[in-house]
Amino acid sequence: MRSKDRIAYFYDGDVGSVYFGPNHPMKPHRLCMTHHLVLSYDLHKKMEIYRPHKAYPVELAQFHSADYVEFLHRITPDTQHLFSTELAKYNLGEDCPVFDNLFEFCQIYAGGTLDAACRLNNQLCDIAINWAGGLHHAKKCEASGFCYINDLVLGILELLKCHPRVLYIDIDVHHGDGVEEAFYFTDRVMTVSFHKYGDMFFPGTGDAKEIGEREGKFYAINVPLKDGIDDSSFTRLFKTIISKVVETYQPGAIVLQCGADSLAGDRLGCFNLSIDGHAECVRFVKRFNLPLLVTGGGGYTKENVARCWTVETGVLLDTELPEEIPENVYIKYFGPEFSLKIPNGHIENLNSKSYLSTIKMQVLENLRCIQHAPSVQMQEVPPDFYIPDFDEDLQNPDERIDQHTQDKHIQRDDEYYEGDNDNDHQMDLP
Amino acid sequence: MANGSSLDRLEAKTFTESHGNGDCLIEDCVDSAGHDKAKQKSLFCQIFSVYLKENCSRGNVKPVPVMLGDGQLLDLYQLFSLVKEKGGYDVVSRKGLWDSVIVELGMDICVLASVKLVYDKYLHGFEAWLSKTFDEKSLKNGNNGCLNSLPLDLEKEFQSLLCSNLKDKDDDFVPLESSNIIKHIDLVNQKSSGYLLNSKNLTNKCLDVQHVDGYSNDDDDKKFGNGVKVDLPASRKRKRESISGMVNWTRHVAKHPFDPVTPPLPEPSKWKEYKGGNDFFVQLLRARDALAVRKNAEPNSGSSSQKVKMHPAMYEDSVGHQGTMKLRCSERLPISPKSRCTCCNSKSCSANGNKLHASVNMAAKPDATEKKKSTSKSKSKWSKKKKPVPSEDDFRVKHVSIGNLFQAEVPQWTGEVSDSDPKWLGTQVWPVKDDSKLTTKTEFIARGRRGKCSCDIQGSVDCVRFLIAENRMKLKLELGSVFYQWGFDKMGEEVSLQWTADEEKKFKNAMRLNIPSQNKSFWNNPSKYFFKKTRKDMVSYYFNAYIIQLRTYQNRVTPKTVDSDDDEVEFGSFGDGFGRNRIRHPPVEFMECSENKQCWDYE
Repeated sequence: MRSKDRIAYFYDGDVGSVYFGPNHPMKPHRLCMTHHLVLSYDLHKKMEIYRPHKAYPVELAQFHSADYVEFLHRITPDTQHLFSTELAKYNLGEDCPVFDNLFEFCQIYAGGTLDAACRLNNQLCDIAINWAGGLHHAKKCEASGFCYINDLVLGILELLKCHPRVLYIDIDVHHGDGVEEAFYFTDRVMTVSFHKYGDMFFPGTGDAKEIGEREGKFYAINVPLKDGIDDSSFTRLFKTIISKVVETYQPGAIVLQCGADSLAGDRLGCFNLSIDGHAECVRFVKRFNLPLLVTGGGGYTKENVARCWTVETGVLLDTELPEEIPENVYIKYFGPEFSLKIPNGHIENLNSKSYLSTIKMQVLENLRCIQHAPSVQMQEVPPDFYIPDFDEDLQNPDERIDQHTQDKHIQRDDEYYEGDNDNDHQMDLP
Repeated sequence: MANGSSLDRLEAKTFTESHGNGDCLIEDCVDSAGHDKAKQKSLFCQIFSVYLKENCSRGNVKPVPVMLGDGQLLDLYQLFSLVKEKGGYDVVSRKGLWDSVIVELGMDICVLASVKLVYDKYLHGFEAWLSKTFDEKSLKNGNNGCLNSLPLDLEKEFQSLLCSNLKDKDDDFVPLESSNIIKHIDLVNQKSSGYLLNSKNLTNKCLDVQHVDGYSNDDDDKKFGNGVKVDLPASRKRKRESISGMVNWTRHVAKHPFDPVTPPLPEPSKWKEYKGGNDFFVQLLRARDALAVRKNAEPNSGSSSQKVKMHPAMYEDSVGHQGTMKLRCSERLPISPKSRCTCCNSKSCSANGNKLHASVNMAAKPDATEKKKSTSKSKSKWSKKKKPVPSEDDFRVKHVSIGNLFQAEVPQWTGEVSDSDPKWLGTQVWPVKDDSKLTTKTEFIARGRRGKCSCDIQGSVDCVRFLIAENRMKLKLELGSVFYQWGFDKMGEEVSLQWTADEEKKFKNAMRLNIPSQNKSFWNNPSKYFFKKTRKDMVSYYFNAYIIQLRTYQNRVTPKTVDSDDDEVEFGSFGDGFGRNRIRHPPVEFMECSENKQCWDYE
């Protein structure tokens, strides 16, 4: 009995043996564990599993600069000492070390996302899953935050061949800066990222004020959150924003980055989501019944990553999974409870109701601007979606800029008082 | 204050250089008679900065320069000497002399409380530290310990500065204990000039450098260093007058980032050609260039490890007992801004800066846990705990980079579906083609744990192992060749079968030698231990056997604090039952374990 959606799942057995080096939190072995757990739950019987091709350098260069790709291809741990200038130039080193089979690793995960996009384009499946992909920090000419090749950008570019508009959603705890940056000027891709922002949290971008520029203005959405957000507030916010986004933007396909570092207890993350909360977002996006490309992303407590992505595979297959993890060779990683549940985090939720509603209002406000200024591409949308431009005044560009600058000032003051203990000795003066 | 002094020195240096005079400015100010006050002040600045650093290495960070509530800058030196003249904090408070202190500072009486508070926060501790330092010294080394190293005039000045407080002490000048002070003064003695002297003040200087650099990197000039507060000691250097205007102007711009600047500043790309209009701006640009040159030339500005060596606090006795780790962590605060400086040259300044910043924040937490110690090595994404630290850079909002080098080329939508190359669709692995098994056994989909088997001792270690093996076998039969393709044959403790007992032991021992905090790791050179094994084999063993065994132990003994990221932790031993023995003789091992009290806890 197959799920009514056709699901394509991509996995290559070689990714699991990749090792970033000691003390590096990124452990591709989590992909092994995930795959194994998926199979332990017999989920393979409901889907097709593919081995991705290894993306060719020329494919990677569709987004990345040729010199960067070439360098990644060439560099090895043994030769890296000869290229210190280039290493610095391409931001390789501490966050993004050079390790054995680095390029092959990139080829596999990028190939997976490309193949996934291709299958969706050719309508060979309705949902494609590549847990190895989702490395959203990589930039056009440099690596960043454990990401070398931005498979998401490549996948979206592929999807753009068949769809006028693609929606990118990112629930990694880190801002999806690489994808946002790549499509900052275009209205053909809308990027929506929910992430922790502030306190110099990596990568430092992702303020709600970043909304895109030129044609891409209002087509980048950032939902900056603070530490400890829980299931209920996160899913409520997610559903409100995403439903409005889909209604407004009418994407032809959706790319969903499911970074698992937004879960409670992640080694790097600081949110308080349970697996259910995380998976609820996936379930919600699935309900739009649009071609959906699901990728992995961050996630640094690897047994939780395996749990989370297994549950989400189940969600995409409309399959409820029993809590007790079946016996498998990695069962010991899931002790002492051996269940799919993860312990609740103990992080205080710093997102006040008023803060969340402010963010929500701001995002929805920006979304309204899209309706007022439909781009060329939006002509695809059925006419009844147009809302007549009853208030021309709002369209006055000068005025909008003014408002925007004002907002900037307000935000700035906020930050000044909140984040800055610098002058506290003045503040607590009697 | 420390900020100010070093900036001052630095600028003076810059400008002396441009006048063909490469001499150290401390020399300048030491040698020029008639500048007693200035000398005292500079000495005060130096010592105070040492005090701040030491303090901050204990996690007690105090921002300088000091600003009062209304944005007025407070000269700590002036305050300190005034209060000292009047007999010290206690006396002044008792006699109610604060009014006159304020008046003599030339400030409004309404800031009295603030000033008092500032004194309490900054200088009271400083005073105590100073006298303690002196006491210790006289006890330990006798009076003449390091006296020789102090130039006589400095000595006297300092004495006079402190005499009111230390009247009850020996009349002889008591040498300073903190070797870093001695070092400072030694440096002065040697007249080995600005280079070394500056390196001592790396931290401060680099903050300034970075302010200036930040200027160049910021799209919006007016945003420059919103939080930068430059404090200029009132009278210190000869050349200062020539730049005070510029510094004042910079300060003004920094304080009022949204004020329109007249004449408007040019685009960063045109700075090179920029000639006229705004003299201060031209001056600032020149200073910036000079700093950049110096920064590159300065031998000590290379790697941060060198800086660690140079850092005076490393010589301190007082922090020795805190353990090297703590010291390392907390010392990073003053060091990091420097290392971040070195990257300002690169185009990716903002990005690097940001990541580096994480480590600054983290390092500021002196109660670093074991985990953080190892992560704090990296200026990176994986800095886990972030504590908002007061920093002027909180105001440098990171922006999306724009240009050909950053954005993807997105073709216009033509309305036609272009060909999505069907060549790369992936190779279907599962279900295996022409496979009739597809339709069978659907009832087992998403089954959970059976939890028991038909054997007598259900739930025992042997039993669980049996179930695992059974499931594995089933999977193997079901998948056929795919089983191997996905590498399932190389998953789990099965992997350890390819290792001999000796090898396993060797591996275990090698892993124990890992000291993440010192970047000592087995993985740096694994072939040193095992010639025959490939790195891949070892990684596989590590994840499939080593960590699992460790985890098994954790699950049983410390179920409340399991953490599979054990390469982070410098753990000790975890029982003799570890490894092959454990698999072979689980009951015995369990008996051993039950001896352990922690185990009762779990039961």
